[in-house]
Amino acid sequence: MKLKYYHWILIALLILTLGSRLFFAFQTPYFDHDAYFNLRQIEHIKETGLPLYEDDLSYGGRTNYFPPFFHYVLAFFSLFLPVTLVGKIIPNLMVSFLTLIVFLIAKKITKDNNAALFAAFISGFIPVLFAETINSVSELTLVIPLVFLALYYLMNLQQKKFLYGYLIIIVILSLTHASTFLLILGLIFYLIFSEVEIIKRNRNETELILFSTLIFIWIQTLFYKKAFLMHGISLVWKNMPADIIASHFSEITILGTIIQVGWLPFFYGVYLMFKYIFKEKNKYIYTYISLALPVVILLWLKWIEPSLGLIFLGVTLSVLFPEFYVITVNYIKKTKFSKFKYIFPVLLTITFVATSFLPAVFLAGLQLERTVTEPEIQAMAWLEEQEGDVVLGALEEGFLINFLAQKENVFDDNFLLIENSEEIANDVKTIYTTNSRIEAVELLNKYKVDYIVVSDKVKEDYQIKKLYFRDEDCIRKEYKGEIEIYKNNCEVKTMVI
Amino acid sequence: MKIKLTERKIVLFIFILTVMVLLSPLALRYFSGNTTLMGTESYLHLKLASNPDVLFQPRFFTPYDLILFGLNSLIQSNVWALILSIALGIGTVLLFNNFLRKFDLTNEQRFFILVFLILSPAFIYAFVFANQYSLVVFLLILIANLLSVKGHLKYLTIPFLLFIPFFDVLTSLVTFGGLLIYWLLKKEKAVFYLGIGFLGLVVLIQILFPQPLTYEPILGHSFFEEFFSDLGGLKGLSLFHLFLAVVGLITTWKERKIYYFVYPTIIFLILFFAFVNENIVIYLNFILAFFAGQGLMWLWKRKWKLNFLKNLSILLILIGLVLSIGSYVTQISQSQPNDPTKESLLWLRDNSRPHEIVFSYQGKEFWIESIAERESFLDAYDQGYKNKLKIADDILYSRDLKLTTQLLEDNKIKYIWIDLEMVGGQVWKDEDEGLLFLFRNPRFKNIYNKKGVEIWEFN
Repeated sequence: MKLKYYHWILIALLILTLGSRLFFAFQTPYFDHDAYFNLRQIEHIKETGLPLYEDDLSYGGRTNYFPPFFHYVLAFFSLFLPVTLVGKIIPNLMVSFLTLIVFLIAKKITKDNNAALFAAFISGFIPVLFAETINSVSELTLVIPLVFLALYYLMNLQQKKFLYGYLIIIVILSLTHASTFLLILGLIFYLIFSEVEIIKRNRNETELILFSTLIFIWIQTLFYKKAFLMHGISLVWKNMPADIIASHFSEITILGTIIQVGWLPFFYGVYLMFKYIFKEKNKYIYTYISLALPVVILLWLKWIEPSLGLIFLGVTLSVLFPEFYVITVNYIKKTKFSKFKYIFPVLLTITFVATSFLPAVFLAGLQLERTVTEPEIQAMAWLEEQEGDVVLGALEEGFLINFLAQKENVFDDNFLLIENSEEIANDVKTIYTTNSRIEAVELLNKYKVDYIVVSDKVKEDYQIKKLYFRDEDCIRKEYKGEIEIYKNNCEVKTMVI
Repeated sequence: MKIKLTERKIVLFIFILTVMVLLSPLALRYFSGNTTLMGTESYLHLKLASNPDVLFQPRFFTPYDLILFGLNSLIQSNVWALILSIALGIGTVLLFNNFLRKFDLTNEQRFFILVFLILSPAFIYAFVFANQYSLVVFLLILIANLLSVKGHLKYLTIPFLLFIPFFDVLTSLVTFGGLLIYWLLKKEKAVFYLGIGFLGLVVLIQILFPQPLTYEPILGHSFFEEFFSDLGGLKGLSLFHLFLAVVGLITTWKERKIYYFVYPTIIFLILFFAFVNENIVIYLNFILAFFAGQGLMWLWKRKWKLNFLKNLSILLILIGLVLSIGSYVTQISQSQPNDPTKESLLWLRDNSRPHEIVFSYQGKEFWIESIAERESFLDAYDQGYKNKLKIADDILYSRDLKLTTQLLEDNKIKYIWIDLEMVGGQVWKDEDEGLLFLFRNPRFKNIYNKKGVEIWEFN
């Protein structure tokens, strides 16, 4: 097959996207704090063939259930490359393929190569997607491309290979991450829309959507049944303590949304939604509007994390954008400015670079500042050499303590199947903020803490400058540097009242 | 090989399935070494059935307890509660099958509706735990059957309608609602007269023997957690059940002229569940089972483009349903009270005086009163219950010795009963929390400590 001009541009876009990602990823040898959970799982799968469902280190010992497909994929690559290198390259490679998928979708909708190229370009540099997935070893790097690939296959059901491909992807998605429910919800919305708007559906679509819903519910029930029973509705917020929910499920502003999604996709995507909903009937546009609407509703209700919702929204709007491009170009052709029609793509590119590409780069830079730092690595390396089992640190440091220091943590960001998460979070807060040594030591002994980490993260989280209850006798500073680590040698004796 | 579903086969199958499903949690419980009855409320009914002085107090009188009392008078045994529940369950299913025959349904549709009814947590709850709703549901289905008989034979419902007002107001409301819907559909004079007569009777009974709105106090619950058995709801619905019911509702929308009364009924029942009491789901379950059966039939009969997808989808639903029910049955078979609880309360009965008051966390009072035969400080049916709850909270959570001992003295509490659930997070999370801290004081004496259950004597 002879490659045409747009093929070359597309390949260039893929290389540009991947190259930019890897450039930022390799600015630091380390990862985001949350990535260390997945890295530990990948290592465990590599060693034993199974995920670490019974974890002796997290919360001092806990059970963990999650869909492990993503971890198995990375574990496979880690047979050939070091785990850290796999963590840097493979997720970025997977999410870079989104540009190709968005191109295919946009071309299917508009039948215009230039419009599709723009969509691909935009999708490669959605600020929130770019920044949040560079160093996070996140399942979303597999979920997002697969979701849109599934939707592309759904648009091509006349060919049996796409039908079987769709089925395989749905099963893989259900085994990868619970955020697949956004796709399922979108498909259900699509069914409702197509009924209300009397849009003719392919007969296969109804059956596939029904099956998708069933298989997703079925697989999630297998993994999360225990969590459902234990946490009930608070599973929606991952059983997070109240203080932490506020920071994870924070309110998002319109301006924040625009910056993180990109100006072009946001405004043109919203324009298209208004143009098409209950007015024009375009089946493909409705498919993506159906994906965007529940995301918007759930974001507004704060039932999903802002970053997750904005990533889905950003990619969906980038898919809708080319329709606007075609409408605009066709309109310009009919006006006096038709001879300037070639300037429009240039202006668009400049606008996109200014409003999406540069913010993406900026946010990526900000995110890099939040990755694990060298002092943290050194502190963890020191801890690994010490005797003693339990280390208390900031919430974000929990996975790091397990992965690098190979020690038990008191708490971390994974609250599922932890019955007393609220109590633990409050106790940790008390330890770091109390002036009372007795109160602190009682709590330290309750969790059998051997070491207390006081890092910048701890100081920021608890608004403290130092550990107030320290002394030279039993809470002694043993590690000095940018991070301080104290050893707990105290004991509290109980008296009769 | 196609199996033809005849009436005989349907009846036989649902009979066997009902018996198996209702016996399974009991069997699991028994073989795991727990010989006690399941649930808190069961013990209230046992207490009433063996104690006529209490039974015939107006606020406790229900026909269910009267029947249990009658059976106990023949042979004193706790097993009557189980036998009665299961018999009523079988009777309900058979009567419902008969009722469904009045509708324009195929044998397959009827079969699946019944299967979904039997395999629903709400049904299992109603007919496994000893509770008055087992009799209520049976009576309502019986009345529905008799109403659909032609001519004056409808008046055979009268003796059964007479019992209904002696249950809670919720039951009377549901019955009246059913009569009203039936009259709106059929416009039969007999039903009109029955409805008016029934309403008059309810008003009269409420004046003479006021019944509560619902038996379980409205203690507050999370809608989602109670509505879905997969989220832990004891009387909820399974996700797959609900999925099929939604499919059924959507696919029967074309016939909405027939089902027009159902949609507002469902909305009303769900709102009632959300804001008033979860027991309403026992009635809602029948409607949802109907539509779940319709939903499955639609999936089955539909010409799918991909046959393997159809088979896989139906298989997933059925396996999901079975797993969901299996999990539910296992969960309820492990419900309280367990043997250590029963042993401790029997010990308390044998080692304390009859009028001494026992204090524990809310919900435990039925066991204390029924097994230990002692007065509980908290009594859910006491008019001062809310005030007592506040006092109970103070006692449980305060570390102020003076305050706690004063409250115990003022309320003449002699014993404090504590189980593993309470120290495991239901009340306290820490061994030095609240009352547990105050147990160091010599006025508290640990007189029983076995298998996680403690009894403390207060002097």
